[in-house]
Amino acid sequence: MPEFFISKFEGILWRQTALGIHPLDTQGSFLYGGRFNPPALFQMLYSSFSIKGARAEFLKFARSRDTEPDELLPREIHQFFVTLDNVIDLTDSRNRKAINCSARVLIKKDWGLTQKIGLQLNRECEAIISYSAAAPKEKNLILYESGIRRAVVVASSVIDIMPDWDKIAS
Amino acid sequence: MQTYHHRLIQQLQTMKLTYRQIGELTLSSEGAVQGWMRKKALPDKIYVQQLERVIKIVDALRGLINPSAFQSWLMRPNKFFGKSPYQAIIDGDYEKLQEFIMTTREGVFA
Repeated sequence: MPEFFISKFEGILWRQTALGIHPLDTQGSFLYGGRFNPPALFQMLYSSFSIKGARAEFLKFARSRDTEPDELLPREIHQFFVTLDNVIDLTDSRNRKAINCSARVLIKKDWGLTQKIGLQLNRECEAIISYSAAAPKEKNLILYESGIRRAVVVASSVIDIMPDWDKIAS
Repeated sequence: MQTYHHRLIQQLQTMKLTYRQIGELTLSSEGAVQGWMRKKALPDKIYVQQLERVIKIVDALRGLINPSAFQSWLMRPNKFFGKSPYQAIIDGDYEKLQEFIMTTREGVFA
């Protein structure tokens, strides 16, 4: 088993959803998978370190559904607080070396390798940190089930029009 | 007194769908839908089931797409479906529609 450098995380994370969806809902990610979780094996909750990151993920998601961002509004942006003792930070080159993966693999269009990584780390930690494929300077924190249980929702705001993102950010 | 299928069709009309569209989406026809509404004929069970299915899908999609953009979004070709969402409903691409609905609810990161 590779040796990982485990870190702690305490702070606010951001996530956007459709209106009326529970901020910590992961049914869609469980059923259809995501960058780090293969479909129907385990749930993961994808969140961003900043509202800028959440906005970039929203724009990328809209593109992936061939839908204009405005057409997907209104949406809700949620903030939740989490304290984690057991996080594997894949933006730390030592952890990437442990699984023999490059930074580029983490944001590739093809999810094959990242889903394998997510599967491999499932029982090793409560969450992983990775670069955002939507905005590579931004970071995401992706929670496993044990991490989701430690999340507490602190605020939700409605994004009615695109400029609302900037209003909330300020 | 309104029958169950009347209420289903009316529900689809409140979703801004025309008789022609309801006919297409339920794999019947505009004339058949008009006949059901005028009580000239009762829809077969299979059409009632299709009405129920279409309501569920359209209702879920309307919860995700801005109401003012919904009709144009529904009819426009969409690369995710490989056709318009409207055609995807007609063709019974329920797995793809469900994937769109479930992942868009959460905005799963891509």
